[in-house]
Amino acid sequence: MGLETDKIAMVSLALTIVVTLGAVLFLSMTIDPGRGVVVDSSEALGVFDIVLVYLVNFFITVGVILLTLLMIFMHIKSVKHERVL
Amino acid sequence: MDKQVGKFTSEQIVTHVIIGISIMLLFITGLPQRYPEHLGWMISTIGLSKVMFIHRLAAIGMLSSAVFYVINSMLCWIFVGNKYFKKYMLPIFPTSGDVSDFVNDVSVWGEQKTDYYKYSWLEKLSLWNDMVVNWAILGVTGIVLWAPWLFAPYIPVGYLSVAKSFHSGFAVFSLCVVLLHFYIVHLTPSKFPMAYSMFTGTVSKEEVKEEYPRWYRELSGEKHG
Repeated sequence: MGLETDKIAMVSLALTIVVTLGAVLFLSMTIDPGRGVVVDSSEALGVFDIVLVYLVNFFITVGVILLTLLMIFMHIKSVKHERVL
Repeated sequence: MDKQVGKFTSEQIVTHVIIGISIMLLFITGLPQRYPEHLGWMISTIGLSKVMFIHRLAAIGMLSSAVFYVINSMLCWIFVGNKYFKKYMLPIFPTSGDVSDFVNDVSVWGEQKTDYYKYSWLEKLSLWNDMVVNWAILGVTGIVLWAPWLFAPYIPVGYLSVAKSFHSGFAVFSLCVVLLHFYIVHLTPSKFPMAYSMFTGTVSKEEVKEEYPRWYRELSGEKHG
């Protein structure tokens, strides 16, 4: 399996370079500073958008708190068993 | 069974290194934009245009790793077959066993060690965080913010603001998962200063026996528990 996967990796690498370069070139070619879009315009937010942003912020806040608690629990466990994962 | 057991392929090691470097650069250049009142000095030190250039360069690295990982996994599955899928791809998918492992791990008063298979639930969390949050959510919203003129004709302008909220919000979430991952592989007493398996691709037989009992039983031919 080793030699075969090595060959596949080389093909994958070549395809990755082609895809990535293609995407970057496409983005570079379409840049038009004259058509800049103001992203910070809060006036453009509708009710649905505001609710969506609120939900995301809520999810992030809860996620950060839970991950912090998780780290504390894992530390207690690792000290107790002198190993973790 | 050999003294060393293969856990990661060389492709996974290379992908991990690229992700590691990219994500550190993304956090270093991205967080000052999210919190300019506290970290704005970083932007003023080297200039916003250079910060944005480094941020986008790192984003290209991150998305390249995603493209490589997806293409390589698909090609290996197609040309090598189910053997590759079962050995390297199937173990990364979440299972019901991960839930019980999680419950056992966060039960700090529990006495018994968790009976892990090849990848623990926390390793899977790091991996899926990278695939879902970093590659999909941050990747898509990052491209939208990078080239809004491409999407402006098709989506309302308000959605660009939503994309910005998604991008910065999930970046903070991703940072927390990365910090947890960083703590587990570098700062836990048994791993300090770092776990080397992600660079060598192998783990010792003793480590497998100690850390991944269920995987050890399978490798040594015992009945899969």
